[in-house]
Amino acid sequence: MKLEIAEFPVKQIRLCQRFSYGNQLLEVDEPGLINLVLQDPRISDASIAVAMPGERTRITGIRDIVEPRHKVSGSGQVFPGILGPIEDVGDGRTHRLSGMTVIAAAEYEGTIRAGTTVQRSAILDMSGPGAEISRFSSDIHLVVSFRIVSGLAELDAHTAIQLAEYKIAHRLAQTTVGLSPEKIVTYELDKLEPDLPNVMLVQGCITDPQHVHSGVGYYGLSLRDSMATFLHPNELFDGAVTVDTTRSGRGYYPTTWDWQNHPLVLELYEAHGRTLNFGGVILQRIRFETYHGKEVGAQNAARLAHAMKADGVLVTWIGGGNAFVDVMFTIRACERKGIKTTLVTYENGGKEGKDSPVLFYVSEADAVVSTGSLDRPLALPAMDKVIGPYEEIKIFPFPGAAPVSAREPLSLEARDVMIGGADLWGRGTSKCVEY
Amino acid sequence: MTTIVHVVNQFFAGLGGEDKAGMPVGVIQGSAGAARGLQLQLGEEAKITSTVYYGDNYFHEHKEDALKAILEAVRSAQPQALVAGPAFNSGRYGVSCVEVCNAIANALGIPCVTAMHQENPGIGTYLDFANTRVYCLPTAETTAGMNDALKRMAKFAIRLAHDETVGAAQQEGYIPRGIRRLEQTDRPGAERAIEMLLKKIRNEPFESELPMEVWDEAPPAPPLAQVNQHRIALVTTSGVVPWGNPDRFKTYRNTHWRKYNIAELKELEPGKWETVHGGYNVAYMNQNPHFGVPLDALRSLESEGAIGPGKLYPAYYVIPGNQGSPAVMRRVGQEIAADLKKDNVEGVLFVAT
Amino acid sequence: MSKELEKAGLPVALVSAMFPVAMQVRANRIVKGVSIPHPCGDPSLPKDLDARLRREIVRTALKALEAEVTGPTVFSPGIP
Repeated sequence: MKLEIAEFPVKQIRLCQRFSYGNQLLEVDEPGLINLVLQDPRISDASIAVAMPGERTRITGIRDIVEPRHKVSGSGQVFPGILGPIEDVGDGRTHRLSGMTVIAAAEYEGTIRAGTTVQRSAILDMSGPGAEISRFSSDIHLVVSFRIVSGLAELDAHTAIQLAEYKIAHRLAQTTVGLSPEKIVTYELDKLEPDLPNVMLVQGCITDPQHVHSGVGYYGLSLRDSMATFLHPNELFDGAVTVDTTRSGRGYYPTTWDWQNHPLVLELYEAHGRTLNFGGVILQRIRFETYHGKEVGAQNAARLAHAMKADGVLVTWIGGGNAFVDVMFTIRACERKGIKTTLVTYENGGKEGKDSPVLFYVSEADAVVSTGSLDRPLALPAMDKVIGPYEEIKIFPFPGAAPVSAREPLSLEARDVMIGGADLWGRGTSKCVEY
Repeated sequence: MTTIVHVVNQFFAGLGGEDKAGMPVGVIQGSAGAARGLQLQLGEEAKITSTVYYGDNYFHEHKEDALKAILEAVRSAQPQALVAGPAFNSGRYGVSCVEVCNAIANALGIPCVTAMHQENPGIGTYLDFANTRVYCLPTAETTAGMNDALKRMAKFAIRLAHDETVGAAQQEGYIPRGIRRLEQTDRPGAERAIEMLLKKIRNEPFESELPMEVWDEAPPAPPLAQVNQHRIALVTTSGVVPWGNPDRFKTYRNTHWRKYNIAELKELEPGKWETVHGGYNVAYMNQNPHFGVPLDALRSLESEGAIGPGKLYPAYYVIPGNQGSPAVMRRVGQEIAADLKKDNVEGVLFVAT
Repeated sequence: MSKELEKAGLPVALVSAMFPVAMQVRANRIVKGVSIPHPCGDPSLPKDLDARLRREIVRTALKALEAEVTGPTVFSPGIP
C-alpha cells in the first residue's frame, strides 16, 4: 500500500468570495462556506474568522481541529464512513494544506450533567503563555463558529459539528486539485530490511461503550468494547480514525488533527528501513471496567503483536485514571511474550511534582518516556479578541459552575484545559526530570 | 569565609559508643571526631565552625527537645550549609540525620546534605519529606566508605554554600526525592522513545524517564470482634451527592469532602441525588445511587441484625475521587478519620469507583 | 485515602472493582466490586436480584471488617 502525501503550505488566508490556492495564499469563499454549513438544518447560525499566530486572540468553544486533506487518486476518499464512502483508504495520492487547520467551534450545552460523557470544549490562545505550551499556536486557523439548534442530543450535535468541519476542510483542500505541490512524501512499508527489528505501535484508546459516540470512530463506526485490531498507518493519514466532537480536545482527548499527524507514526516511518522495520499500528480499546476485561484486552493486544512478529512495541494511550491499568497490563503481557516495550505517556504528580506521576505500575514497565506533567497551573493574560461562540466560559464543566469572561485573564489549574496543552504522544520536547 | 556546621551522633563525635547513646545535644567548637575528616576534605574552601552532636537514643526519645536544641545551635552559628552524617546503614542515625536536615532547612532556610546507604530506613523519611533544600548522597553500607562519602559530601556542601544550582538527581549523583520538574529537552518524546526501544531490543543499557514506584506497607488495623457491636460508617469516592450539588464539587481534582445526612432514610430516593465525577460513566450511578452508596443493603442488614441497631453512622462521607492528588487525598483521609473517631465510629465501609 | 483511615486505627473494607490497584497500594481488606461504574450491584440484573447482590457485597465487607489479615487480602462476595 503506497500513499503519496502532496504538501501545499498555507501562509495566509483571505476571506473573500472565491476559492483558490496559489503562492501559499488560500482564498476562501466566505458566503459559499457558510451556505455549505447551513445546509444542515441542525445548524442555526455560522460565522468564519481567521486566527494568526502571534495575535492576542483567544478562541473559545473549540470542539475539534482538522487538517484540510483531499484524495486525488487511490481508493476511497478522506474520512471514510463519514464524508467518504466506506472503502479502503491509505493508497494513491492525498493532498494536504499544511501550516493551517480548520477549527470547529460550537455552542452546545449537552444533556448530560457530569461523568465521562459530559460535553466539553477547549480554548486556544494565539500568543502568550497559553500559545507557548500548545502545538496548535503556530498554525493559521480558519475558525468556523456555529450555533446548534437547541435541544439536540449528543449524537446529533456531534454529527452536525463533525460533518460541517470535515466538509469545510475537504472543500478547502480541493482548491489544490491540478496544482503542483511544494513537496511529496511517500509512505509505504513494503520493503523490509531483514536485519532490522520489527517495531509496531500499540495505541490504546479509552472508549465509552454505553455512550452514543464512544469517543473513537473507526471508518465512522464507534469502537466500543471490541478487541484490538490492526491498522496500516496510512489509514490514519486519510482520516480512518476520528473523534467525538462533543468531547475532544480537552485534557487527554486528541483532535482529528492529532490522528492525521500522529507523531509516533511519523517518527516510526522516519526510522523505517534505517534502524527498524515499522510493522504497523495496533488499535486497542482500553478502560475495560472489570479486572477480567482489562486482562483479556491486554493479552489480546499482546497476542496480536506476537502474531505480527513484533520484536518491540511503542505503547501509548488516550485516557486517564484506571485506563492506565489496561496499559500496564498490556506492557506486562507483551514483555512476557518476549516483545520489548517502551511506553510514551504524560504524567500527573500534582503541582509540585511530589505526588505519584502515574496511577499504577508493573515491574515490566522499565522503559518509559515522559512527555511532561499536566498538573501545572497556567496564568493566561487578557486577550484583545475572542473568536468563537462563547464570550463567557466555564473553566470547570461541573453542575453549578459559574462562567467567567473569555477576554479576561484566566487562571487555569492545569495545562490540559488549553487545547494542545497535553502532549499525548511525544510530539513535543517536554518531560519531567527527577530531583 | 564559607562556614559549615557538621551534625553527627555521639559515636562519630568521638564521645563514646552504644553506652553513650542517651547523651543529650551538645556543641563542640570547630571540628571533632568525624568532622575532622570532613574538614580535611573541605580544605581551605570552607571552615567547620562547630560540630553539633547528640545520642542516637536521646534524639528519638526526646525528639522535640533535641531538634529545638540543634536548631538553636545552628541558628547561632549561621552557617551557609549544613552537613549531617554520613549514617551508612545505621537506621536510627539515618532517620535522625534526615529529620535534622528537614527541620533546619525549613526553619532557617539553610541547605543541607546528608548521606547514607540506599537501604537505610532514613531514605523513607527523606522521600516523605521531599524537601527541596535537603539532599542525600548514597554511600557504601559500612564505614569502609567513610573517605569516599566525606569527599563527596564536602564537594556538595561547598556548592550548596555558594548557592549554586543543583541539577537533576541522576546527573548530580544524589538520591532522587521524587520531586518531578517539568523541563524542556532537545528532542521530541517520539524520537527519544524509538531510541530507548531500540536500545532495549539490542540489550544495551538505557535510562527510563519514569521510575516505577513501590508503595510501603500499612499494617492492617485490628479487626472488629463482632461487627454488629460497633459503629460503622460509609465513605465513598463515587461522587454521589444531593441533587443540585450544593457543595459545588468539581468533576475532578477536588480538595474538600462533605458528609450528608442519611439518618431517617431507608434508601436513596431517585431524583434526590446525582453523581459528580469526571472519571467514569455516571449514567448507572445516576439511575441507582445505591451502586456507590448501598444504603438499601445497609438498612436491610441492620434490620436483620448484621449491623447493630442504630450502629450505622447517620451520615455518609463523600469526595468525588477523580484525579485527586495523593497529597490531598491523604489529608482528606486524615480529616475524615479524625471526624469519624470524634463520633466513635470503629469501622469503615469504603466504596471506590 | 483509605490507608489514612487505617493508620488512624479504623479497619476499612474497601469495595472496588479494581482490586489489583487496591492491592498494589496495599489496602488490606479488599472486597471485589462488580464494575467500576457500579461497584455495589449490577444494573443488568432484575431489581430484586441486584438488591440481593448488593446485600451480599455489603455482607462480605462486614465479614472483612471482622477478619484478621496480615496484608492485602481480597474477599470475593459469594453469588447469592
